[in-house]
Amino acid sequence: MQFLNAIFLAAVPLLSIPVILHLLRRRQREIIPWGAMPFLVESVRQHRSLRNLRDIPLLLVRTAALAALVFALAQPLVRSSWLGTTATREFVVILDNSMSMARTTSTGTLHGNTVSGNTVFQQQLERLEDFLDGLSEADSLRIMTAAQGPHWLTREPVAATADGKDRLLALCHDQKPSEGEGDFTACLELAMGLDAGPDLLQREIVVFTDGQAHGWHADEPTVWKRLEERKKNAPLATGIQIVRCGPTTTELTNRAVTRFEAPRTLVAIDQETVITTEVTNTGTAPTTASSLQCYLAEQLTQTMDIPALQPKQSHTVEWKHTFKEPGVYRCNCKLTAADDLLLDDQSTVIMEAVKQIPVLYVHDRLTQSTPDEAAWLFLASLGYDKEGGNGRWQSVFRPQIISRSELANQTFSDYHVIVLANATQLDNELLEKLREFVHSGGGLWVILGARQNTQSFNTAWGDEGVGLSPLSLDRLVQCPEGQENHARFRIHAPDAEHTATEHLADTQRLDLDQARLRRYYQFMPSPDKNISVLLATGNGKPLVCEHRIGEGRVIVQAIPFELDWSNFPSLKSFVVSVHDWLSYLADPAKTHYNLASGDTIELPVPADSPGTTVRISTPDQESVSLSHREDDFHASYRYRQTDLPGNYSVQFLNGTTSVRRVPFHIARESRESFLQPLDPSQSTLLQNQLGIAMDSELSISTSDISHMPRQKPLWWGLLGILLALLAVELALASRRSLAYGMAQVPSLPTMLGSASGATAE
Amino acid sequence: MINAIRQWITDRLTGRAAVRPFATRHAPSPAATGRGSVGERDSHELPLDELLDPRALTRVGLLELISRTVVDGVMSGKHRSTHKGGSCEFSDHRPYAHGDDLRLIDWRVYGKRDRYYVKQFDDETNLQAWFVVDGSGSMAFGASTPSKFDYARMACACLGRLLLQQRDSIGLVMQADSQTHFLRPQVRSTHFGAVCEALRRATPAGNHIVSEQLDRLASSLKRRGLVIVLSDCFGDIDRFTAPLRQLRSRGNDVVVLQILAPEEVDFRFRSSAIFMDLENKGFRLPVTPGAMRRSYLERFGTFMKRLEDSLKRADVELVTITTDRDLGDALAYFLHRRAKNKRPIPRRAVH
Repeated sequence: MQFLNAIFLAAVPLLSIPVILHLLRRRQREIIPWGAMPFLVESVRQHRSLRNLRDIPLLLVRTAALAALVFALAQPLVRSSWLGTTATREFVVILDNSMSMARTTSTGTLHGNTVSGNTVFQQQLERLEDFLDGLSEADSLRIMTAAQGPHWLTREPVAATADGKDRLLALCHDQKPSEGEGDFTACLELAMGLDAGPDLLQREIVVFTDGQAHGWHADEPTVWKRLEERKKNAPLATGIQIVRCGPTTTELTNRAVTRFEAPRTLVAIDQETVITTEVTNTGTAPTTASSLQCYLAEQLTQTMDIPALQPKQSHTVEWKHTFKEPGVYRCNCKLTAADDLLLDDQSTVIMEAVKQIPVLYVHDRLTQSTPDEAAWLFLASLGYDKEGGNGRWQSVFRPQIISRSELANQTFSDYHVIVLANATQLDNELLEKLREFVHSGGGLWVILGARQNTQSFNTAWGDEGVGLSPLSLDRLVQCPEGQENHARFRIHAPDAEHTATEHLADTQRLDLDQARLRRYYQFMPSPDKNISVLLATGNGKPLVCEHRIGEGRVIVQAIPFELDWSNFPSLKSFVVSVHDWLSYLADPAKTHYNLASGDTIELPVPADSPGTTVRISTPDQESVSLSHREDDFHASYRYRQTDLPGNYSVQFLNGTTSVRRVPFHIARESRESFLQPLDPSQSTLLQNQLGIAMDSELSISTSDISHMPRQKPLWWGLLGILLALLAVELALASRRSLAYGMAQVPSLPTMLGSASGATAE
Repeated sequence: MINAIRQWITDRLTGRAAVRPFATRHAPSPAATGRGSVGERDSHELPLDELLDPRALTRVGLLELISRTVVDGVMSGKHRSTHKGGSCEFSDHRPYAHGDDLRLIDWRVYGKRDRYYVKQFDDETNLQAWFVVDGSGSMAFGASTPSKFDYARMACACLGRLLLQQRDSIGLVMQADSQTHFLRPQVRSTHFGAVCEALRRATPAGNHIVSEQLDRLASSLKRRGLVIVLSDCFGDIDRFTAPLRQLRSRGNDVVVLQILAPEEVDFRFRSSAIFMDLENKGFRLPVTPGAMRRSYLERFGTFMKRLEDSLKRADVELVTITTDRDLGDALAYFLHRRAKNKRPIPRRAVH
């Protein structure tokens, strides 16, 4: 037997107290010299056996009372069934509201569109109704949805009474398939870890799903191992059933917008922007020709033809558009032809059009009128036509060029990025100011120049100084004659996963492999392996490294943009690198409208919106009020519940009137469009590893709950026994006292003395 | 706590408060009597001033102990004699006989009957009183009060002094421990001193019975007198009553002063204890009083009833006194009661 507070069992020796007291009292009885012994002898002879019979029950009752007290404190755990507890079960229902549940199976409507049938989600609700009908009132239910991880519809258990069922069904009917993908392993993990209620004996997890494989992570054995452990250590006996809904056929007709993106979502007005759209046949049957409609701020802007596609075949089209006015635009596309899965027939991207992004370029010349070669090359990369004047920029970045001596007079917060070209010899005050600028989210691009003193650089910019440079400079490396093709003087292909170099890594389209270095500063090797290197020489020596300080970023480049140092400025890769790195550096300061699931929506508080209320509407039609938060540098509105993919919209309300609306978009995973049911081997894996019942027909099992009996502490029962024993003890002892008191003293006719009650005279 | 609740419930149900054992109730405190507090009184040699309790003597000093029967005496006294004498109390008429004093002729009767009748007057004589004091071991019991033996010998001394003041003679029969005292009645004050000395030095012990002393007294008694037995009367009732009946049949006035301890009457013990027999040394009896009380009281009551009936049949007066009673009050009550219930002398019918 187990005890909840076994330490109280140390008091078990106290049970001997009544026996010891009894024995002590026997041993320590008073000796009374007595004269009227004949009467006593006869009485004792008659009552000797009875006396023992009277003493022993009292002794036993007192010992039992002490035992009941000790055990009540120790709280022994006994099977709930012994206590007559009703064998209640709890069902945790996991509803699949992933995108694949929007698949149609017969005629019907979905999201206002006429479709050729009911959705799998609606079938799922019908199965759920059947399931609820089979529950008894002793059962209880919790329901969660599985898209993008577990989301409770009812976090607390609801009794499966008629009212409870109606309420739960109403909640479920309010749900719709989302653009998210199911995450059943996370849902199972959460459900299996739920606390065991006081009267619960069994928990049954019922998963309603269309049985798509990617929601189960069947190819990730560690996930399943963790689930197996969780089930083994579940607080009470847990069973898992999967109820598969939807068509059993694998035939599917589906076109999906699998890509809808622009190279940069922050663009300049009056500059052409290209949004690339990829349409893929994710079904199993060929699709007919259709058209793709492109909408800008809900206005149809362009229609493009999509040809007939074979399964797995994709077609890419480009939507070119020039924004005329600054603003944040929701751009979305929609396929016109209906298919089995409509939710993936459209996609959205949020574009922000601005007049310019201010960049400060600082060169080492004394006056602004005489920029050096590097400055001209930098300007040229941004589309500045030296011959055509300042009016023909081909980039959103609009640099202002100043000399090093003018830097002290600038307000840094007016710029998103500051480029220091051969202008590193700054006083400490300016260096601190630059550090604060970076810390608050600004971008700093440090380009070393010909007259760079490595010692003074390390002192001022290294760890001993302001710490803006991630690496210290070692020495100047010059290319000997005839070794131009040596790896030390070539540039290695950068990491394609890094945002700043994802385009540069495309060596098929760019010419980074043709870059030859004549001179460059070599960084000292660092023990820190986590230094982010954007560009490196062919033998792995860092050329361009980056550093994050606070919310901002710093890029330190060990080679100037001058042709006598390398031919890099003459390559196409140079233009791409300038744009990408400026975008990368300006990224922390800009608002991110296109996010991934789970990212935080953050919108700076506009200066012109005091006194307004701000609400955000989510894809599942919820509206949440937002309040701004302030940190050291910014005040912003934030919203973190962005698991669900789709369109979000932040509204600035003046009373009930919307005065401004800012769109955000959480991108969906395109995997959900590729419907792939669990194959037999995966189903077998689930059944064997987790004991999941993969039945299309739902059975509410009253599985054997005795194999893992629920235990309950018995303290209240023992307290009841204790009270009963005390009552018995009181009754027994009182009975004895009563018998004592009720005995009549003989009345003697000629008694003289108070004992007889007689009164003299 | 539980015991307190239980006690409270019991008191409510029985309507009385249980008496703690050995609690002093209207009795001389052990400190006042110079004795211990529980059980057998170990100091049996009593000082004379305590033997003759001044309070008791004061209380009974103006009273007199009168024999309820005629007694044979040799001296004039307060008691009616078997001899007719010249007292002022008329007794009977008898025909005149030769030699009678002519002064005794009742001339009024002669006028009516024309015969000579002589007036007879009761003679008053002194009393020969025997005190039979039980000195058995059971008389040593006294818990919250003086021991029964102390109470008995104090009563004996007080009554003896009272009788001596009445010019009655007192005798003492007592066996205490292994010593037997048989002091024949005398009127002298020195004899009273001997009686007191015997009482004072006596130690109650042993399991001898008072009946043996009564047998001895009955066989040696030649004159009618007053016999006062001071005993707890425990033992065989028939054996106890037989010599009393014999004494009574010989014309003696027999009084049994039964001395009991209050604990023996109500048996208000609570805690388990070992009761040690005072008459049979070494015999110990473990007793749970709560369980025994009812049975004990029933048996005790039966015994007292039998004793009373038996003594009533033997025409022996029984007076039961508990030792928590003030001795003076008890003796005064006894004397008053005796004076009230003085038995009339049967008159011969006058024809």
